[in-house]
Amino acid sequence: MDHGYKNNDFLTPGYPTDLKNLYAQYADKLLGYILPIVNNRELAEDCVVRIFKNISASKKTLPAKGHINTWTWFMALANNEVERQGEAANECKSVVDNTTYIQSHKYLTRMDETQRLVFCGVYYHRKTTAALAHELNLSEQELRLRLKEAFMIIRQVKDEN
Amino acid sequence: MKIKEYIESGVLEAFVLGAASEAEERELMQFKNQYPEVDKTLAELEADMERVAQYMAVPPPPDMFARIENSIDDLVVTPDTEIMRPIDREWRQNNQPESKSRYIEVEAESNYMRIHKTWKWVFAAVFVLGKIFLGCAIYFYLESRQARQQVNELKTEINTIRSR
Repeated sequence: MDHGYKNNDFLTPGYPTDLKNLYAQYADKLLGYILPIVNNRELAEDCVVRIFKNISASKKTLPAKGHINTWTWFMALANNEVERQGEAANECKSVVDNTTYIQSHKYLTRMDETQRLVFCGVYYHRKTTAALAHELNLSEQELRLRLKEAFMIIRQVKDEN
Repeated sequence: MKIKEYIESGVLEAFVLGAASEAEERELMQFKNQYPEVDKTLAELEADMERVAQYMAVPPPPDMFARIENSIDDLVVTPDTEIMRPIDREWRQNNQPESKSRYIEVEAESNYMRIHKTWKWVFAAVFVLGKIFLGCAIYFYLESRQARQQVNELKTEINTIRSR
């Protein structure tokens, strides 16, 4: 199932200028988002190339539901692309177990283990709240609250910076 | 359910990360149109996500946009081809049969080059050695100048002694 939104209106006709602007603004974020998921630099770069190729090919009609801003639209497109990689995406190692990665990101170090498991499970591994709640032996309501707390920590770190 | 409780429940966070169920998404879209505070909170959460992404951004390689442009060109000429890496491009250029294509191929070369990370140690060593050689050159220059001065002084002294 494709994630994301419909009839986005970020891309106006006039490629390559618009695509280049989007690339300048979002390519580094996309690569930083996809890299921990697939855990393979070459594959992550290929995903980013495909995403921009698809954007260019489909003009304004890439599927993405409920979307509000451009970055979450890109996240949805990235999730679709990683899902299409099938086996390749299975190379993904749990970010939660990667202590070096956690230590290098301030907001992850501030979260407790449950908050980190919930945030990483949803953010990197794209699990639904129902599936993750079952996996972590939490109620869905409890899981959403942990997710909300994780967001509050992100906001705290943001305010400090 | 009161709208404040709804916002506090964490459904919005799950939605922003794409983890909400379809029923939750439908409900949220309805509330979003109905309540401006839901709309505002969603916008804030999405801005937070962008901030996280910015924090974790990884600079792409310099030739990546050229690869995207290449793959887009391929969409026009041969829709089924895979995304080509630079090495594939070279192979294709060298092995392409001559054909009467209606398209003119334009190759845009990048102004950047990629080198292996180990080269940074080589560059560092060259830099340090350069500094050492520069130091030695200055030292020996000063030494030789001093020696020349001493020779001149000795010559003057000898001439003075001889003239007596």
